Amino acid sequence: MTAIAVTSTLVELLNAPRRTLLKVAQNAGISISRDARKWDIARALAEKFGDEIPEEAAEYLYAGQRSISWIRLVPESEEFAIGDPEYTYPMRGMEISKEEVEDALASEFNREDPFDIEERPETILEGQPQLIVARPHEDGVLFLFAIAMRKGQAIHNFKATSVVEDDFFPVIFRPELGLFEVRASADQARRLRRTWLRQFAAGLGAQSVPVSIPYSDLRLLHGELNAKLDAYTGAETDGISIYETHRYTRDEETCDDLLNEKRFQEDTENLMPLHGDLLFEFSEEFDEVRVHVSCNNGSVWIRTAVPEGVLRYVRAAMEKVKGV
Amino acid sequence: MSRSGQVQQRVLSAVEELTDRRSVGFYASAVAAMAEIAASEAAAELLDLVDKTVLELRFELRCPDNGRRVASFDCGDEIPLGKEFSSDRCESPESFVVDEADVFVRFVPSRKFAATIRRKTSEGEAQGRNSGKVQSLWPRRGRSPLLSLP
Repeated sequence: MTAIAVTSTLVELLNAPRRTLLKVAQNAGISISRDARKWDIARALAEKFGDEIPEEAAEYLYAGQRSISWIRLVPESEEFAIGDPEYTYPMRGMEISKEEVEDALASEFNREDPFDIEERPETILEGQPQLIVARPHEDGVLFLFAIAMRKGQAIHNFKATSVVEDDFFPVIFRPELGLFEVRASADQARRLRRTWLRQFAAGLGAQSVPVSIPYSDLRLLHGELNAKLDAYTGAETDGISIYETHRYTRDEETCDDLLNEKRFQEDTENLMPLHGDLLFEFSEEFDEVRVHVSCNNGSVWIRTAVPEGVLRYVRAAMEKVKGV
Repeated sequence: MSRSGQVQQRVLSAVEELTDRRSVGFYASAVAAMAEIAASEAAAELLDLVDKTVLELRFELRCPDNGRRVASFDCGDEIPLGKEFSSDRCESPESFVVDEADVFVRFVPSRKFAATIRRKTSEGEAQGRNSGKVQSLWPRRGRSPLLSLP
C-alpha cells in the first residue's frame, strides 16, 4: 500500500466535524458524495484551498467536540507540595513576553522563523507529543502536536501487525497569562506536561502546573453558564459503604436541575465529587450544550460538536470562576 | 480545652467511630466532615495518628476518567508514576499515564487500634451500657439509590 503525504492543512481540517466539512465542500462547489468519508472530504478541501482554510471550517478546527485542560507556568525556582491548592487552583501563570516565546520556538525548531510551517518532523514518536506547527493566533500562539498512538493489532495475510495511528491536537498558549489551553483528552494533556512542556517551560525558566477544577468551581461554573446539573458522579469516602461510586442522572420530566434539589444535596453530601455534566443554552442553534466537568482530572469536555465561539464562552466562564 | 485540643479530640472521635463501624479505610474528607473541620486540618491530625500507629497509610490509584479504584499500594510499595496503566475497571479501554493527581491517600485503622475499639465496644455492650459504644458523629446518609425507587 502506498503511503500518501499529508499536509498540515489536511491534519487541521480533520479536527472539524464531518458534517461541517461536507457543508463547506458543498458550498465551495466541490463535487463530493453525501456519504463520503471524512478523510476524503478533508482531502478534497485541502487540495482546493491549500493553506487558506474556509472560515466556516476554521471556526470548528480547534473546537468541535473537545476536552480542555489548562496548564499554567510558574517560576522554576518555586517549590510546592504536590496537589497544593495554592499552586493548582489559579488559572493565571507567569507572564511570558512574545519575544521569549518566539526565541524558545526558534530554538525548538532550530530555525530563524519559528512560524515557518514548511518544515515538520519526519517521524511522529509513539507516546510522546511532538510539536509540528506553531502559528500566531489571536489569543497568542497556536501549537499543533502529533503523537503516535498504538491502536492494537491487525491481522493481514495471516500476519499480525501493530496498528499505530497519529493523533493530532491543538494547544493555545496565552503568553500574557502564562497559560496553555490543551484541547485534547486529559490524558494527552498529562503526556504533554510530562514531556514536551517540561522542556519548553524549563527553557523559559519555568515549570508547569496543571490547573485543578474542584467541585466548588463546578458549582460556580453552573451559575456562570446558567446551566443545569444533569449528571453527577461521586465516590464514597468512609470505607464502610458497599458502594464505591454513585452516579446520579437527572430525570428531566421531574427535575429541572439536580443542584436545586434538596434530595440531591442530601444524597451527595458526604461523597467525594468526581465529575458532573452541565447543560446550558448558548444560542438558538446550540440550545443544549453538554459540558462534562471532571473534578477528578481537571478537564472540561464539551461533548456537543460546537464552534469556537462556544469554547470561548466556556473558557470565559471558567476564567470568571477562577478570578482571572 | 484549646482549639487544637478540640480538633484533636474531634478527629479521634471520628476515627474511633469509623473504626467501630468496621471501616476498611477512609479519606481525610470523611473525617473532616464528621469533625466539622477543614480537610487540611483533618489530614494533619490523621498523619499524626499514623505516627502514633493508630492508623496506617494506603495509597490508592483511581482511574482519571471514572474515578474507580484500580490499584492499592501499601506504604513502601512503588507507585507507577509516569507509567502507563490500564484496568478493566476504567471506562476507557485505553491505558492512562499515572499522575500524582490519581493517587489518593487512605487512612486505615491499625489492627491494634481496631482490636482496642472492638474490645471497648464489647465491654460496653456486656455491661449493658451505651457509654462503651462510640458516639455517632456520622449523619446517616440517604439510602442507596436502589432502595429509593418507588
